[in-house]
Amino acid sequence: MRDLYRRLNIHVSANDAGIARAIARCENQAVKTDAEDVLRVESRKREYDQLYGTLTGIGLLRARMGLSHAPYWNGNVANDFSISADGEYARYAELKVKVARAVRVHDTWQQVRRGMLWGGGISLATGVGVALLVFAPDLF
Amino acid sequence: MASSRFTPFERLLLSSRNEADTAALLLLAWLAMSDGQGTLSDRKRTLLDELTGDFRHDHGYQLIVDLASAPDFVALQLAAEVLQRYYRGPRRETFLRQAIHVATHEGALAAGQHHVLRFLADLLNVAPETFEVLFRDVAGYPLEAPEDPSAAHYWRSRESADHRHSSQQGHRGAQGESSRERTGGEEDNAQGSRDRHWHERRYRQREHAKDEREEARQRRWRWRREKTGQREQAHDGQHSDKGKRHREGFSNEGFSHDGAYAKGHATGNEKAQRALAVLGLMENAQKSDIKRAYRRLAQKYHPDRYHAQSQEAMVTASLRFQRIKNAYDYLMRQHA
Repeated sequence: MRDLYRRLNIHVSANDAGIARAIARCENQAVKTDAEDVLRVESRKREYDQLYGTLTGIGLLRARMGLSHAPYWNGNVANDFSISADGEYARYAELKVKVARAVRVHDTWQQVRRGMLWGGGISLATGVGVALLVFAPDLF
Repeated sequence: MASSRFTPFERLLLSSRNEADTAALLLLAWLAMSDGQGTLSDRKRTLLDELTGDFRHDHGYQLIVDLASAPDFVALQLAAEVLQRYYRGPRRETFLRQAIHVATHEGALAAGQHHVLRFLADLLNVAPETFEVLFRDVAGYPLEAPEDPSAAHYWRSRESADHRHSSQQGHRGAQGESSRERTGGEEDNAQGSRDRHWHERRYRQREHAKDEREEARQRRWRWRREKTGQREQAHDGQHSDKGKRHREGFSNEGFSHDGAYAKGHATGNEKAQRALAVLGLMENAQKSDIKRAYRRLAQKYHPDRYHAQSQEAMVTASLRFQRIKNAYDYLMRQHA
């Protein structure tokens, strides 16, 4: 399975006219005939595009997980669908970082809440005491 | 590095009772749906339900199906990482068996499934030789190279095969046998219906073979159960409940052995080949090789070695041990 779009130097979303132009200016005869036969027939193109999507995704996953030199990634597929790794990518580590941060936020919030409750309780009690002192001084 | 919100799949993972099972379920659903049709039919859903009956994920399917159908590669990457993290040793093999079963359930492998399966094998660090043996064992036929829809000759050969088929089908239609196929293709254009017939044909062939296999397997099961039951009752009462446990686990699994033992109609040669594959041997293996391979594997995979580990590891181990032992017994009978 080759990446005809890459070999024709167009984007997947290119319309029919764009594809036709690219095919016309393609110099590699093999790619030219194959692209003509596959991309210019609606039903074949649909199926090709589906597989293209899957393979692009697998290429991405392999690049990000360091599997682009694994034994089952070889031949045309590996040549055409490998991409260079785009920086450090570890979803699981990312998830752990997020969870850790959420835990921290939660704990801080609990502390603040407890502080506020205590503070609120004390100020309420003081307020009540002061009010009693002011409005009912004969109780003391 | 981390974006601020949790994605839906991350939430699912966090709320799942077992992260690895959730991740495995997503990857299996992706595999099931990369067959070119892009939907999870009821058949596939039933199959997934069946296979993942012992998964402890404890949540619904809907999100998984959504993620797998418009493949969300961020979620898939997370799932793949989780799987790589948790699945080690024998558990990998069980998962790959499940994956092969899912992929080959509805006819021959679709092109997308070829690549997804290979990705899973690489992900779990299973060498191609081992994976091909596994594939042969579960599917009953060897793993072939994926087809190449970017080449013109692929379409030409496929469509000429369709053409032959549709003329044949015209005859059969006249006899009134294939109403299902005819109702399927009417509203579409000729091209679309040819494609569908092609899929349908592969599917039907496979289905037919599967029915036969299923029947043969059941027959064989009954036979095996009676036979082992008698033998155990006759001279070994002590171990019979252990044997029963093996057999029950074996029949529950339902998928891993059907390649190896189900084919009552397979020729002896094919069966011998499959048994040799289980022991990891080439076709020209001698009796001494078989014995040596069996001893090595039996030591390596004896269930007692997994006693200290989880229940799951124990079950997996005893299933595999049973498979190895059956293959050995069969080969010994052949060589006797």
